[in-house]
Amino acid sequence: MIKHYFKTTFRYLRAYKLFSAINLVGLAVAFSVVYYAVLFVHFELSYDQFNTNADRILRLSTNVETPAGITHETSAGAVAGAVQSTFPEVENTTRIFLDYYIVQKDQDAYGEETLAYADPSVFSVFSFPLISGNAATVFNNPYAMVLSETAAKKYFGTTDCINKTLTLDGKITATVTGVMKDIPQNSHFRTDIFLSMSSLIKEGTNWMTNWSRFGFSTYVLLKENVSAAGFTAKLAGLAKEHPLKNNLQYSLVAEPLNSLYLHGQARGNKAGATASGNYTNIYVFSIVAIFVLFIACFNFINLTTALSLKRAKEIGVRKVTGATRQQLTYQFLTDALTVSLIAFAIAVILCAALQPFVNNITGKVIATGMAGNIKFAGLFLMLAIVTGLLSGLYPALVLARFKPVSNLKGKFVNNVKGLILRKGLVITQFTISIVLIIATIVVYSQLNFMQNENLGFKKEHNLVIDFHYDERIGEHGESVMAELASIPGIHSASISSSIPGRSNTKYPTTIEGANKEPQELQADAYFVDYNFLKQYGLEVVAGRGFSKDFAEDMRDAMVINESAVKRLGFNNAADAIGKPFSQRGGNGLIIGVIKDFHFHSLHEAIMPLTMQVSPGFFTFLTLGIASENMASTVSALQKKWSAIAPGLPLVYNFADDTFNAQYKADNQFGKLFVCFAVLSVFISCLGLLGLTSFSTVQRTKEIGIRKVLGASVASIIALITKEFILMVFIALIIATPIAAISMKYWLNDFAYHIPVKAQYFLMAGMLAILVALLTLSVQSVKAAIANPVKTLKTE
Amino acid sequence: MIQLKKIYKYYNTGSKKAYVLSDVSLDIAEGEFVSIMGPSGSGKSTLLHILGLLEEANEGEYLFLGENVSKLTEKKRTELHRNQIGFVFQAYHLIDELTVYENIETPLLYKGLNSSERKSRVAELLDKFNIVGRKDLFPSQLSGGQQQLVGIARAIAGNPKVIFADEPTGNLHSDQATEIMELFKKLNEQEKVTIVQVTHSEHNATYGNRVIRLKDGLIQR
Repeated sequence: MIKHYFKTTFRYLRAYKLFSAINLVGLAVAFSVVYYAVLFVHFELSYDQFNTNADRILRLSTNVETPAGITHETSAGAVAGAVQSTFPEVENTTRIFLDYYIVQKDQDAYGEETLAYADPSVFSVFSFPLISGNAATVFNNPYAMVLSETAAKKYFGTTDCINKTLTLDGKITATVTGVMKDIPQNSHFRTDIFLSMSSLIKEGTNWMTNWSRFGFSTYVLLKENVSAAGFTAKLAGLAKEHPLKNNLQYSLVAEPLNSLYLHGQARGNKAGATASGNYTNIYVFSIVAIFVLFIACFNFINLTTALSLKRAKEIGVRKVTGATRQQLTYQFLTDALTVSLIAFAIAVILCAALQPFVNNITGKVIATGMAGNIKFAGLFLMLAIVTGLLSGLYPALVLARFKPVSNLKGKFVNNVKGLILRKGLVITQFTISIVLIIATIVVYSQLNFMQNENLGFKKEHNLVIDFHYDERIGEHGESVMAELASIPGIHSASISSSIPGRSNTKYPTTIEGANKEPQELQADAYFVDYNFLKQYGLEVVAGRGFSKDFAEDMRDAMVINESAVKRLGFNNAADAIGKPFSQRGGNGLIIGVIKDFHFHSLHEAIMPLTMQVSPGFFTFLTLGIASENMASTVSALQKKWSAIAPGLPLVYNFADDTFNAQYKADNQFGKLFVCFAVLSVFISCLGLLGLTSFSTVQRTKEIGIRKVLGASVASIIALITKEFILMVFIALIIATPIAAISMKYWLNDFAYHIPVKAQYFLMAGMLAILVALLTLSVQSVKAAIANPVKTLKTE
Repeated sequence: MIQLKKIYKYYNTGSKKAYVLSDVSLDIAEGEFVSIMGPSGSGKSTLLHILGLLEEANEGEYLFLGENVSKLTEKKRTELHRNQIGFVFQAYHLIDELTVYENIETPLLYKGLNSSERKSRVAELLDKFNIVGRKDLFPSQLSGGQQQLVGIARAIAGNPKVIFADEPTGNLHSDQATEIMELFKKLNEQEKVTIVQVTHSEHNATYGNRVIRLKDGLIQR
């Protein structure tokens, strides 16, 4: 009997090729989408789970209470030791300090890499197994280095590289003392190179005792069966014992490792900050994947119930030859299940083929092939079976209930309920598709806005060199810049501690406010030279910019931005001029106010910014470069550079690229969204194609009669498409508020965003209707131009 | 074998009842070959459908093999279709996607016969109807007469007591029709299958041994 069910199924698949193909393609695509969405979600949820002790690890951080609110800092170097010696429930602690270096094996091969200074206990707190080297001794010396397998192979071609050396920033020699397995992709911080902590904390510095100097990620491994909450409660006491230098109140917070990636507060501002995920994205992709699956299932239900009209006779015959309703139900479920399983097989192939593409788009290695994910493959198969059964159930029950006699008489009339259901499903499909189209348009408009919005500074034609605090440049800024500016094609130069789009340090800063009282603010601080404002086209709105003509401008003068003025309570920028400030122990007066510019991405509101002329923090050289003969300018620069700083590779970028690099995650999100939208529209249109093909077959006779009576081709096409276009239109009406609300919510994540404009909805609606019309025209034109004599004869 | 007592069948059209069958009573004994005749719209097909348990009468009593079948559960009805009743249709109603062999096999599948039983029964029928050579063809590859042969083979595959045939030759040429009618006669005489056919043709009616004439839903005496 089962054999007979399958035989019948395959005969039908072959007999109704278009229907079968639509169902198979739709389901296969939907399965692939779901598979990758599940992988993505699983990957995002799996962060740091590879650590054997993951549930006992906490990250200690500092919340500093400033008058302007809480600033979220990492932790000071002294915390780890104090916690270890104070609390018996602590089994171990370790500190990580992220940094980046130019890493070189020889003169020619170099690259910028994220590195981490670490305590040796990093290998016992976290599960980073060593392949070679002894965890207890690898970090005995300064500039001892543990490489990942990848880094070892990259620099030495082998993991057998103990005692070999690499050059950091062109001048420091670091020695390999161990090789570890690569840190998994789903780790909230990743590095290919660990350096001994003693490379950072040199003898004679106070990093070990200073409670105000943040920058460390401190991790605590609690003993087993110790309550994290109990431990966290005790931290307040420890904080009290160690006041900050500026006497601001602060609290030590412990964040569980398990939730760091998705829920952890972003802390610190060093380069190579830890990775953080976005919980909203997980919801978005889960929901969208389910939607895509729904669309495909709706196709299946629609086409099967539509096709049932063609199968009415068969069902009648089977009933009179003795088939029970149950047996017929089994037959239709077999059909559904078979289609679903074939789609599954296609999806497996599709997923394998798409793997590199998906990894590329998500920017992560979320998939390593189905063979490596047997658990997922199994789940995925279950999904196919459940999908098949569920989407087969409704048609099966409806079909099996047919009354044989009316079927055999050929009197079968489509019942109204079925028709409403079918229309409802089509409308739902298009609603989902249109929502996704609108979302895509909004996402892209926002991405476009972020990359093209006037940021308030000049980002074009600025070539930026990161010289990694090299003294040969930092301490001779003036002469280096003069020398570089002599290269034809370079017309200006500036040196600074940061540039827009890169991280900068925040400092507690006190400035006299509108109420004549000194006000404390945690201000983003730029340290610049006299030319910086001009180099970046920053507009002075009150007072003056820095000038060599004023001796006090060196260290004793400050320029602030409009946001700082507002924070201080002044109504006019001019009112802030001449007010005293203190920062990092220095004092002076405010000499100027600059117009606000975006020094961070448009995700963030513009915060108070201070600028001082103060060498010692410089690490970026900005060169104004002509767009003509760029190549020869750069090669001349290269030549000059090796004379100025022998051994230090020239690492450069353009200011606009640097700024836009902040939008990498946003761009990935956008790309994924386009994929989803295109796929859902595609599957919806497949369904539409199937339904029109069905409805034109149903109406062959009607069309024939109309043509005989003199209907034009155009009027026939209108007749067939009218109903479907109406459905798409209804979908547009339903989709509009849904999309408007959800996109408003999404845009709120950006401090600066586009308004949700009516034109997006019009555009999406027009697109949907256009695509629907194109799809419909395939069938309707065929039906409209057919010779009526033929169609009437067949009836 | 079949007893109809005061059967009425009507449809509600607006406020009035449109009677298709009125006060139909008849007896059909086992082994009879009955032809139901009458003009179009006289209720022939409806009567046949009621006899074949495809439709239910609104009033009256129907005894099939001594059992009251006026109101039946779907399960019981399927049971009778499987074991006691065979159908032959004017438009043959073969399943287009199945071969000749598979079409004949279908009722046996539902009856729950095992594979070897099915095989021998289908082989027997193919042989009897002289269509062994066509067993792997699909209905669309056959002539009308041949399709109807398959239809009859399918109808008797499950060894029913009675065959209900609705204008079995209505779509056929006369020689094909003759062949089919001869076959019915043979089945009736040799295998004692009760046959009830609806027909328009007086000639076809002569193959049977009784004619029931209907006009406007009433049996003409």
